[in-house]
Amino acid sequence: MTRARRATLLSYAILIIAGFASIFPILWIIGISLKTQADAFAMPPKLVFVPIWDHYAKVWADATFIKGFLNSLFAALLGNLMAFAIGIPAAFALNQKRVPGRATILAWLLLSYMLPEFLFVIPIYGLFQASGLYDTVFGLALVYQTFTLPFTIWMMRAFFADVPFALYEAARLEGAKSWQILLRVYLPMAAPGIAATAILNTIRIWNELAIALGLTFDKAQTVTLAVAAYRGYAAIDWGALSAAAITSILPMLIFAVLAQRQIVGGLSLGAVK
Amino acid sequence: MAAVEFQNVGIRFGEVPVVRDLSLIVEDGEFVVLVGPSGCGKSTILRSIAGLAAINEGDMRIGGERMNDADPAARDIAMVFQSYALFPNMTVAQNLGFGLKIRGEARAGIARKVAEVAAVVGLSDHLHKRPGALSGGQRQRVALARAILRRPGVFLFDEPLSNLDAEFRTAMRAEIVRFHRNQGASMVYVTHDQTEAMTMGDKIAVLAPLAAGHKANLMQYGTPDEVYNRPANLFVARFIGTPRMNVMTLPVDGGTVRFGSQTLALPPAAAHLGKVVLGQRPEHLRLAATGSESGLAGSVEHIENLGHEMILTLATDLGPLILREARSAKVPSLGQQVRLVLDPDHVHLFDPVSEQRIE
Repeated sequence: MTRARRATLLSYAILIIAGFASIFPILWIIGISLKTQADAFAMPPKLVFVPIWDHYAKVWADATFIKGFLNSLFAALLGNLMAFAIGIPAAFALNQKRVPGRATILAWLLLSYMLPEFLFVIPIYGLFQASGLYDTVFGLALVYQTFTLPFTIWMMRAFFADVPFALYEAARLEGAKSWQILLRVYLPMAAPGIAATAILNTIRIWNELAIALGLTFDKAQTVTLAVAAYRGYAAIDWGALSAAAITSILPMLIFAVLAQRQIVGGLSLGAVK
Repeated sequence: MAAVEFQNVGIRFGEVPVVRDLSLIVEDGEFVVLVGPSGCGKSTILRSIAGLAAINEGDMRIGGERMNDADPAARDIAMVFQSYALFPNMTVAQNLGFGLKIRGEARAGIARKVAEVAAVVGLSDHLHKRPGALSGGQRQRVALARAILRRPGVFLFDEPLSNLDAEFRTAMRAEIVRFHRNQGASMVYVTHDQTEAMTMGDKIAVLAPLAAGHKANLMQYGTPDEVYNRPANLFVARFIGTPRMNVMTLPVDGGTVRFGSQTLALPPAAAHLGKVVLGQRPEHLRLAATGSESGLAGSVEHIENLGHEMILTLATDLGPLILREARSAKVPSLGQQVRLVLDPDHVHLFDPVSEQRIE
């Protein structure tokens, strides 16, 4: 066996192990979601069983879960809209060379992005209680800007930086104003970047738990809280919990499969820059 | 009326001066080439005409009007960028129509004008394509067409041929010159390639980098013939011409200099100097007849055969000298001892301190 062949085999072996390690927990939970309580905890584990759909039926009929699912959807939508409404012009401006204190602004944004999100919950709790934003999806999306906005600005700036500056100048000579250049030249060229950023923002918002736990109570509970709700005071409904967890993964899974190329592009962009 | 006029213009990048004390006039309808090595400010000067580089001192006028601070779109100019700067997300037609659309022209008018200009540059069959699907030469034409559409008083070109391969560059060079003749508009053209400068320009502005210690950028401004045949200083003498002019510093003795056994009388302006810099182009330096003792001894170090002519590098006591010999002449072999003779009618003299030309 040649060295190159050995290296190929080795890398495949590692990839198969890594792939299995990451997918195993998900398969296990899918297993639990399709088993009766007795089957789920049978020892040794039952690999062959008759699947039941009761848990899914229960979860999909649960008004609290459906509400949480929809709330997360709205929060992601609203969070992205806010982030892009502010982030795109901000990134465009920060991409220009003549912004005073540009490096400092970018460093601050990065710092805000890196802070643990729970840090914001306590001070904002009081503020939200007083202003009526507590337990609203809008308030949630607003607080999510602490990480989505800096991330959006950083990502979009990186994509804008890939647009040759001569295009900006050429458009200026043609009489285009800054906003026209942004709209007609930069945005179309950075479209894959917008898609990647939106996807990554959505994943982050979808999986968020700490802020939602602190700043919502009932009306604006998100899907992560709805999943956790199957962990009751007296007992844990493992079947429903698993079915809810799998259901909550689905939108992101479909999203990720459809937009795989953009996500990889967006991620590798950060890696190279 | 002058198309573009610079009056004591200075441009700085932060604290670093890039252009100093530039005064230059581009007459209406003239094709002016700005040429010089990297860092000489040629692109910056061009960009200052376009409004893409700020002018710190002096005045810049376009069509007689002071335009130092005017909006780029209001300057009656169009620019062809080195990278062509075509919008990759738009088709050729959209690229051409972009400016018209921004300026709010009606759709039908845009389509008509785009079709007209596309026909002029031979792009009619490519209007639906994106720049990525075009060859380098076609992109170049799109960039040119976009400039034509603006019907500007002045065309600006920033090294537009440097991305093309050698063969195509020659063809494009002729095309741009022809374009200038047909349009009759003023053009300012930046290049680092002195062949482009010599072959294209009505006038050449030779520029030098301030970083090399020059007081001002503009070394000489004149027709290609003037710049080639009467270089104003050593910088121009060395920069213009391929192969480069032979330059040697010789001691002055009794109003004459000696080139081996050859004696040359100096004009009165140079006779009183201690030393003088003598320049002669490779095509004027001659090989003495075999057996002759005249001129300077040298040995053939390197031969470049160009087919129609030979370029010889000769090792001499005055350093390596380059000589250009027609292929029809008898060519010496490598290592052969020869004697070189100056053509006294084509000698260029320069002051060794000021580096300025001495008549």
